[in-house]
Amino acid sequence: MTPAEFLEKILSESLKRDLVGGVITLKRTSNDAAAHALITKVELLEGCDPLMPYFPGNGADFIKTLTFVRPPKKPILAILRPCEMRAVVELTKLSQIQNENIIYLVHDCYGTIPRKEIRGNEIPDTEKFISEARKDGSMLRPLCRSCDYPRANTADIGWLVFEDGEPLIAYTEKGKAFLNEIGVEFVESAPDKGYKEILSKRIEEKEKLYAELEKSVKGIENLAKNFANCINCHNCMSNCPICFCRECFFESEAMEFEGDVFVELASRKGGLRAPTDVMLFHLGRMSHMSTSCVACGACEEACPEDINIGQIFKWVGENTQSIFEYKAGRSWDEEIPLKEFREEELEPR
Amino acid sequence: MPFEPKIVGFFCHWCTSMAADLAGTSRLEYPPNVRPIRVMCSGSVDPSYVIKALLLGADGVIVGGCHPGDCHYLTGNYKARRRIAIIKKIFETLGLEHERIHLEWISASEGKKFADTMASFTEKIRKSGPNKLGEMWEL
Repeated sequence: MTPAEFLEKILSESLKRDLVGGVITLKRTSNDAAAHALITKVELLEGCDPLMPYFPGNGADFIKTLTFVRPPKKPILAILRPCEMRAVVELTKLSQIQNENIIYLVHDCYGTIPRKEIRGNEIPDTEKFISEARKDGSMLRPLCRSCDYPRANTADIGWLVFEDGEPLIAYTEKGKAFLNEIGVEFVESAPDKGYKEILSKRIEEKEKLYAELEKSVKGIENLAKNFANCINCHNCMSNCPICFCRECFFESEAMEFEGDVFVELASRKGGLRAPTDVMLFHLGRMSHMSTSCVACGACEEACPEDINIGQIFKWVGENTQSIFEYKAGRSWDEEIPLKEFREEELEPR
Repeated sequence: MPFEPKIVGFFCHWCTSMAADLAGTSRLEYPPNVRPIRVMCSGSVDPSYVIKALLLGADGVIVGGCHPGDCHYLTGNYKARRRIAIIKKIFETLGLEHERIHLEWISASEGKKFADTMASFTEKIRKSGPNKLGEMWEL
């Protein structure tokens, strides 16, 4: 199913026939920007394109907004990227999303381009972008280029745009019922020729990325240098889909002290950097949520100082998740590491 | 002046802190390098406490809890074990010294084990030398 057919047969049709209460997808907001939008009127599908190489932030955040208090009464069709779906899975496990009335349709993802490079220009034409991205991923965000989960089978429906004919697949009964009702063809099992091709390139890039981080970030001096320009704005945290706490520990009263405490801290090392606790914030956040990090890179896109924070979180997260043979968002059944334990594990410590 | 390690200890109220009392009343000797902080449970030690201690210049951090299965709150120590494993992995990945973090199970009756553990951990840290993070003002 081509993008044009998808827009016509799935998005437009499901609204026209009132099969859903609305669709969530990417919609242009200007020449050089787009956003997730909940569309209820067919006319407003103009400018919608789920495959556009633009990442306005992780869409799972919007699903949380939509369902946290009470999910909508009528089903909503949500078109997401695989990293957004992984965040949905994590947030569901963390009791932040209620999935009853959301139909998830996730497309294979070729990746996205850094927002800073699109700003002031134009969002590239999707078809042109895809034919380039198939050959060479150098224009992609580093996290897209090295993404090792560009397809998600945790959704209700998959749109396998990596494969010939770009077929749809139903992963769940809910997805099957929806596709049957709308009357489009779908496959029973997912072909993976195109997927494997893309995946092997991505994994190659991932290994390159980790080797580079080993050189540039690893070690106390490197680490300090890497975060030297952090302004402690916490944008990375507020744009992170996994950081859901209403009050962040690092913004709480636990970080407030009498003046003399800071003077004492300064006198120990001879000086105290302001804003304080920059490294504590990053290392602390890693300890709090890296086991659920889906490596979407919303943090990195939001960083005003261009720190490679998303790459570091992907790297650290893959390692902390590996202790528990866990992969954030891979499956509905695996419990997140910080919510459970085994009586016998991790010994000797 | 020879290097004297500064060690921060987070000890659970029900087991390891009791063991510290027992070590004292039993007149067991152990090095005075550990600054004990009593917490209600090893599971209440947020990883950021451990990280903050090290960033501010503690040469080592030791967390003491009840033996697996003996937690006063049933499962706190199992959670602590996972959290410590995660911090250590983060430190290892980023090339920081994860050997400066230690988790030990010491029950209320193990005064001797408490004294021995404090002595051996202090010696280990003494050999590692001062914590570099404690000298870097820019962190």
